[in-house]
Amino acid sequence: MTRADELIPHIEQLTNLSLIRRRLGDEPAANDALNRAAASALAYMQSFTGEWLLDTRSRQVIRVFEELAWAHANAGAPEQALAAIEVIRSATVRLHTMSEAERANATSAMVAPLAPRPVARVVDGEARAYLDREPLPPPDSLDLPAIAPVLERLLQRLEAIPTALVSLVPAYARGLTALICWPDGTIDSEQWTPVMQGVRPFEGYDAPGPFRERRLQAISRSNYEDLFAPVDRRLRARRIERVVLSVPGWLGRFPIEALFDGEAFVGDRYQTLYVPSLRVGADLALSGRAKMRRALVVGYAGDDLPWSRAEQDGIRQHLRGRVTFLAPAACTKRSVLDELEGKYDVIHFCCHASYDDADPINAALHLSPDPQNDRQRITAYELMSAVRFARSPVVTLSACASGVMDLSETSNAYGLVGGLLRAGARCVIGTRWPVYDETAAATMVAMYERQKLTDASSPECLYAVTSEMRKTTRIEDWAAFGCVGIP
Amino acid sequence: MGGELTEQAEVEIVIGSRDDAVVSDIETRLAELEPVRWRDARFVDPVTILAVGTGITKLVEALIALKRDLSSVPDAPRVEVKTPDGRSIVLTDATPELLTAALSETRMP
Repeated sequence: MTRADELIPHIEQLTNLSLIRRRLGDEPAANDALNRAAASALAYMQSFTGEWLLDTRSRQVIRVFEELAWAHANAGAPEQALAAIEVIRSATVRLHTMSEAERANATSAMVAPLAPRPVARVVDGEARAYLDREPLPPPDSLDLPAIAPVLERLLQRLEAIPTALVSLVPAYARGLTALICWPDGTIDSEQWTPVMQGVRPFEGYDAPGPFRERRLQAISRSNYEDLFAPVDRRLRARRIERVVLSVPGWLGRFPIEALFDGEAFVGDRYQTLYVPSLRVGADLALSGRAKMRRALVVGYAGDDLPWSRAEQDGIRQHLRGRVTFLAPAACTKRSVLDELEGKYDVIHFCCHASYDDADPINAALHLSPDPQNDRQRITAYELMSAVRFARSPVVTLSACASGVMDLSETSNAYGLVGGLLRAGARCVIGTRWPVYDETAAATMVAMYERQKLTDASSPECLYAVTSEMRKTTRIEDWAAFGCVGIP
Repeated sequence: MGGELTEQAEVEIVIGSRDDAVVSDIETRLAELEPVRWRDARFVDPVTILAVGTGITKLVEALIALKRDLSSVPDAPRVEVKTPDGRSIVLTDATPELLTAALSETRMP
């Protein structure tokens, strides 16, 4: 056991004490115990020495921060609530997305809770020696970094459209807390207890076939009140047109925009962008507005996806003069990984993909029909460890379940999306389930055609295209593609 | 089997192949059920899905006949029967009793 591990019983004891004090109606004592638990949890997190250790530790202590967020919101302090959840949510993604300037200045309050100390990377194997000589910070003082500058940066970047930043926070036995940041920077909260008697939104809806649409319809209709109605009512009152949404992994499996209130889908009202956390969103916003100067289209070496050829041809036509096409014969793991580091603003894959809930970093793109062919397979781990994008591109994965991510409460985003964000993509468009070949081709060609005509970003064009599709197609078609990141 | 079950049931028949000849052969064997070939997904597993909806007794008899037929076909593909509530039965493991129970109890969410 390391010195940091010794904090775990201390954290559990304080958290339980807090729950008991609150049950007894002693709010000040409950909050004091919870703050001390969070301070120790933060110290425990801070002593990580590599991404995997940080991921493990975040999972161990996230309930403390969920409880703290609930308590702050319940006490009418939504800004503190947001600061509490944001210090831990998708901490592992931030290791990659924070700017070099922030990284270099990692002792500042803004970054310190997420930066290993010292900042120089230490491999997991050296952890014990490192921890033995590094004193732990005092566990009784909680100093959460301010969230306001983060929100300001993100809102500034998105000011062209009335945009709300929404963070959904579950807390054990307490229900959901929504923290809503409005375009003017003010923050509100909503708290409610979902009944959850309908079909659970994260299981069993993804297999293709005649029953999938019915499962999606059932989820869509039975979860609106539980998961989004209180937020929706607030957003409608403020005439919001776009929502940037941060949710825990398990809540992000089903698209919020496909929830149906009896009259309309959430997607009828708002363009929805997902971010692993608002801090990650603010990191991505630093790239500036996406410009479409040069695109890369990666070919597919197989004839089992008859619509993939039409998709590639259509995209190349719409992006004529600005596109590099990596021909199927040239698409090996090595050649593609090398090409990804070229100066591209848009990168498009049209192929097979696979996702493994048990091991999300082994999610893979398959550039040929044989999933075991490693020469033409690129995993999420390979993307995050071997690629550094030159121009923060928008990456589109027109493949099966390519947007599916780890279910973890910490929103670590492991999967192809997380791999690409860690490699420096500003935004990833992927699919929530195995998309039909013909649907994928039609959606993608229409998206790039719109981009050619309007010069808007890929996610904006996707929203316009899927809004049209909603009138005539099924949920499994129009809601198949989603967008994670800030275009 | 006992009395005639006229109650309607729907199943997905998942064939472990995208080879048109293989799939067509199974479609022919199930012709009286009027199977509908479902759209292809960008699914990494090479499968073809047929949608079937008919009376339970007719469906069970046709599936057991298919099991018997495929047992003598060399390199026959894996065939799986899926119900609307997510149950799955591999055809080689199927019995009339198992199929009847699964199809009778199945519920859509």
